[in-house]
Amino acid sequence: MPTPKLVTLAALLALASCSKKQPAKARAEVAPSSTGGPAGLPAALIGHPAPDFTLKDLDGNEVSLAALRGKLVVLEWFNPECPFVKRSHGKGSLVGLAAKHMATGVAWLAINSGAPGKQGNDLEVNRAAVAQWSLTHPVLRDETGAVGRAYGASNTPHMFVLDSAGKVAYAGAIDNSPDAVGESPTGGTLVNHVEAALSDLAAGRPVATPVTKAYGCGVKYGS
Amino acid sequence: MLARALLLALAVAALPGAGCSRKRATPAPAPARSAPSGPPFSVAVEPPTSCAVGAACLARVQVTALGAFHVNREYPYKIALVDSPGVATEQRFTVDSDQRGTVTLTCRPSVAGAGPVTGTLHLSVCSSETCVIEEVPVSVTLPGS
Repeated sequence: MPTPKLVTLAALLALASCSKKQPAKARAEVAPSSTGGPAGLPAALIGHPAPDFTLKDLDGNEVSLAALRGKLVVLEWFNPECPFVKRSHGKGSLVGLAAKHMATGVAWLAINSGAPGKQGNDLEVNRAAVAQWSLTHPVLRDETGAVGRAYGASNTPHMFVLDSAGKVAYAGAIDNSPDAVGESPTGGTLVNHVEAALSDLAAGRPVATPVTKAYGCGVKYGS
Repeated sequence: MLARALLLALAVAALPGAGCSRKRATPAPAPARSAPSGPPFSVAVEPPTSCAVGAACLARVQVTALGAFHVNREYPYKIALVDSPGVATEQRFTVDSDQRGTVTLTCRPSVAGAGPVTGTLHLSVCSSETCVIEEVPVSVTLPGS
């Protein structure tokens, strides 16, 4: 049997499955001025009031952004089946980060803008992820994608930090290591952009790096 | 099991006696873009045809995204190399197209019989529905060193 000059090998591990279950409806109310959608929107929001919303968490409890005025708020776009989210929560920069900052008074909200039937939308999958990663912050369901589009959330994770006046102070990646495990930081030194932004705000300084390019999976919006 | 099989096959592909040429790797034919039934990517190793002691030689590890998948341009493709005594290495990743990216491995053996160069390729490909992050063992034999 002749030896090939070049051997091409294919490798596959299981793709994340897409659930088709239809979860409970969640209500999304977004400020009328927030139409959202364009890729440049997150940067354009910097320094402007964050689009308001009211969403339901995994237990059906309503959470309103307006009720958190006066606090520093972190919004984390979330998809429990996205490998970048899995890595960030399992090994990377999101491990324990929310709990650490919530202990100092920061409000932290995860938002899942995946449409019904899309990857990561399934209610039980979200609950399982909360348990697996010991998340103590709410995961809010934005099945219409209205809130995600209002912020221009493009990736999971996509992070936003709001100042105590409710203005967007940071938008972008969780860190500068797009492998999601902190092993390939741009420039050689791992920087957690959200921690840096929170630190700046807590010290009364402008956020030194208000915008970065988010990395990760695309948000699984509906059509 | 799969990882072991891949490592073995890649090592065989890289053997000097396997008649490796410097021509670019030809990936497996891509299935219809809409419905990849198998792997969402393929990996091809193109070892150097010769690699003299003290000289730089190039190996290429090429990733081809299949079907509806594309190379994740944001992902830091790299080969996490295991120490290979007697071989200095550098690597660089380039995106050749939406479907193809290449890690070019520059190897410089300092002693005869050095190698093989082995490691784990970290890669990511995405479709509109999902992303895949994968780690694939690779091995490159350096002929003539």
